[in-house]
Amino acid sequence: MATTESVRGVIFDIQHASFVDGPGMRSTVFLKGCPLRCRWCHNPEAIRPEPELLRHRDGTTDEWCGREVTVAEVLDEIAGEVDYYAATGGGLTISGGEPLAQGAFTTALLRGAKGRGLHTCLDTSGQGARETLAGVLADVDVVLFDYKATGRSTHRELTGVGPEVILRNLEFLCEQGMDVILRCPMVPGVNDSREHFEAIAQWSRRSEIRLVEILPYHHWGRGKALPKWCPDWGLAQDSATAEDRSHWQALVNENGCLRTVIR
Amino acid sequence: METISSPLLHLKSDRVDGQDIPPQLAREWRFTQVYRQHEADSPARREAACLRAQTPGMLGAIREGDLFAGIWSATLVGLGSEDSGYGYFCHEKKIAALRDGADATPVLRRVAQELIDFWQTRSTSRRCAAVIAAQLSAGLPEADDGAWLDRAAVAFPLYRLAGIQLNYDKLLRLGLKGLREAVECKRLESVGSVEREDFYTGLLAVIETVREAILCYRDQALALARESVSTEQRERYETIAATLGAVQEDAPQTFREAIQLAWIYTIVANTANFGRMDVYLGDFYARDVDSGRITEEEGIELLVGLWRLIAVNENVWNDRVILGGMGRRNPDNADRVALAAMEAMRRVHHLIPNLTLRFHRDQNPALYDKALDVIGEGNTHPMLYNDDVNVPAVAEAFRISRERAEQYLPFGCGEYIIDHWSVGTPNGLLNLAKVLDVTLHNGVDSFSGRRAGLALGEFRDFKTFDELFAAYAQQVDWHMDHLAKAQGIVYRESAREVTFLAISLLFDDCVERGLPVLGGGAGHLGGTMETFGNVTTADSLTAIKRLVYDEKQVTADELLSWIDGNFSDHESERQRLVALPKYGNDDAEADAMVQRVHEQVCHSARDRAALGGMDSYLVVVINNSANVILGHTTPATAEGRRAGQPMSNANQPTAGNDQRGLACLLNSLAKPNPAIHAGAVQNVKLSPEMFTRYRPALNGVLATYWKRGGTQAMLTVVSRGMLEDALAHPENYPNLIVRVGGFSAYFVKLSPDVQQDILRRTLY
Ligand code: SF4
Repeated sequence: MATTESVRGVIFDIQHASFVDGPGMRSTVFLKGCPLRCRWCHNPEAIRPEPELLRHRDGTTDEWCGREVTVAEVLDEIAGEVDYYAATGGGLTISGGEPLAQGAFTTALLRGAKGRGLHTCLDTSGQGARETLAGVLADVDVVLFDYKATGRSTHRELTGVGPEVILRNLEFLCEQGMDVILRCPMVPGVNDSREHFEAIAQWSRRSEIRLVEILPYHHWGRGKALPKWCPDWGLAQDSATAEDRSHWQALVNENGCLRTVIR
Repeated sequence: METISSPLLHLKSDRVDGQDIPPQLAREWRFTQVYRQHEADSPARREAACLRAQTPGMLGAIREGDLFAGIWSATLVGLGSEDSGYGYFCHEKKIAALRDGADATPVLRRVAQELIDFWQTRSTSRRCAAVIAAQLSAGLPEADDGAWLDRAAVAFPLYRLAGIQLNYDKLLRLGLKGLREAVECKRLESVGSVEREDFYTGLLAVIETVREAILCYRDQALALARESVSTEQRERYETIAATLGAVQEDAPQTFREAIQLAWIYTIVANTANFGRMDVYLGDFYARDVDSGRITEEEGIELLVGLWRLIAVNENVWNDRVILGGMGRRNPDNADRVALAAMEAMRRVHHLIPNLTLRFHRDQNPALYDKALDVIGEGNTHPMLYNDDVNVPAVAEAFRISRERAEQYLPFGCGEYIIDHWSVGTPNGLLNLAKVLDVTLHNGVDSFSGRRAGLALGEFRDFKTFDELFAAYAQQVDWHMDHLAKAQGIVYRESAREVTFLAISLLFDDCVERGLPVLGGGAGHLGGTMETFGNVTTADSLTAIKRLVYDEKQVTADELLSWIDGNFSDHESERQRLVALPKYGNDDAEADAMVQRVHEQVCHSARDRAALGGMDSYLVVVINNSANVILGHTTPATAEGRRAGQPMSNANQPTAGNDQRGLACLLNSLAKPNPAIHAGAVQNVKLSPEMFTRYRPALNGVLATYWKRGGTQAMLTVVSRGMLEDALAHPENYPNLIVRVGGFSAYFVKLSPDVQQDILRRTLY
């Protein structure tokens, strides 16, 4: 245990008492580093693996983003909240960035969390090594799996990578009988194609997928500090409107998506 | 030989300068005349006459649609306990405004002036203030009641008898006839003691006054019935008249009669809290519903009718109705009224009554669930109180039995009192942030430049943090000496003048002992005092300890120069202070300091009960909007707050300083020891989704808070962006209710600085 808890990783935030990253009240640890480049990414500061300076939009002030921590430090920081997790069916969620990109740390953090009796969620884009994924499953209660786009070229265009690894990993999780929540960020006019909803509908029929969450895009990220390497980070898209939502609801219905909610 | 302004001359007459008394001040004039006629009488006799004289004028007319008779109509001179005014009161400022009004006639001006002159030396608060000024001027400003609103001082005395809870159960069980018999009986026993006889005679006069009020309203209802244009209208007035007729002598038999009698008595007594309504109405309600006399729906509608009448005067700081909790004699019946009361609240969606739910592990969970349903719809009621923690805490703090403690009731903005047995009015106010300021400035208030404490040395003279804290504690104690003595003076001086007959009649053990409530009648003579800026002070001490003493990054003189200069040219230093640990984040360092400040001030008060001749003297950590108002005269503070800005609110982090999520906030809130004070409150701002999509999780979160020792919570539900939008478009949000502190308000009607303070609070 001592060795597990001393493993180090780089995180950029711990969101305490979140209600949106899995069941119950949870704390979400955001790991730095991501192999994807989603056009709508809210967290460009999540992409690079190392700590870096962010510049505020006004150009005047800089702040550090990212810190190296041990598993023990993360778990100690949330130790005062564990009885709230227990009372709400919540726990720890590991998110990012892409947690699988820091395989050793993610593995150790999940193992450490389980060692302290916490319910765990892994929030992943699915773009990661199979061995890493397979290695953590014993310590994961629920997988929050991001399903972002449908179609090989569309996927590459919108996220910077092809869908192959991701789809194979999703299939693998289902085969393993994991408890999966499929999370679909939906950006109006960008990835909300009919084809995409058809694919979502197909996945929703898999019994391992207990819930599909359509997450409408919000441009809340606008105005926040950005890494210096991406001074003009996208965020150009408009937030989803009520019309978008009803359009999506219609697509959900038409395609027979099961257990699917628009948040 | 008499000068024209002598009140003695004119008060004998119903006319002044050959003209009628102007209607604006006719009731006040009449009351003053009666007082004057009885000035030489014993306090009880004088008061009986005054009460009888004032009551008819205070009975507002029955309105179309009212389900009960009784609207309290305020006067500018009269006899009261709290909201109307304290003891024999005279609202000088309001009368002066009439006098100085552009359209004031000469006779109005003269009458106004004579009333002011007459009461200047006679009103109860003036008499108390004069003694306090004579004995305690070193520590307390010579202040009338509203002084804290616009004057700068570290501590203020207040003059009132707040939070009185009447024994409604006794009233409803005995009715006026039964009460009369009980008092008669005691009066006969007391023959030979003039004082006691007078007191009992006074109590009998109260009963007559209530009876007269009932009859007056009955006549009014009958007249309205005769003039009615529809059958429905006529029947409604006839029902009111019949209900009044039924309770003019006898004990009430029905739910409707019970409400009517309790309500009229409240108006006559001029009190403003309703005690354990579910208990005293429970049996009536159950009997009526079970026998088919009324349906549950009709029961709810009757309560809606009562809520509407209570709301007329918008007395948002009072009008508590307590539901649930330990120590109820009829929990099953009381639960039924409690559920109906919450449903009624949901329907009226108003600021008052201040519905309060006490709960505990073994209580019917339907009450708590209903409370969260009502809150989730955007009501700020009920406030939630955790008896599993509070009952043992109250027993210890007040040093009373657990059985007594089970009858604790929150009132006002969060103070505890024991139902119709203890008085515990907060009659002192201490700004802890100013105490710290005085400590850092060798006994001088740096805002006013006046001495406001002991000269214990300059900031730089304190070589360790413990030395600094000891000096701060000594300053707190010094102010507490003054406040405890002031409270004793208010009680003693008031008791010489006022017997509070209508309260004493329904207050333990006044009738038994033959003594008025403040003159030895109350079972427990408690006092309380309000502290403000507790967390601001503690966070400042955390910053000072860190920077000046532990890490020695900054000298005392440097830090003082930043504060004294209100951080001008020191913004980056201010940011450094802001970044230090703050209460509200489950941070061990910051929370420990809040606990230390809390322990110190609570024990300081609790150890001083004897100074004021009281059975207990306890801190209350509550909030009206004093955190904002007192902030105006509080200089910059070492946790990074600029001069004049709001301070922390009650037992809460300074707005916006809680940044580590709901669990950490609640953990911090549950830390200060509840067993050494008489009430501490906390507001939490939640988004509507918490009550819809995340309701099961919210239930778990709150359950954990209660288990961890959370004493109470006041929840406001607003969605993200709603308050901002309401500022920009107030016309769209006339009904948006938020909780300021112990009381609620329409957001768009609040002053801009209070609005900003609420806006800054973290939304969960
Ligand atoms: S996977 Fe997430 S962190 Fe990575 S680029 Fe996409 S949105 Fe950003």
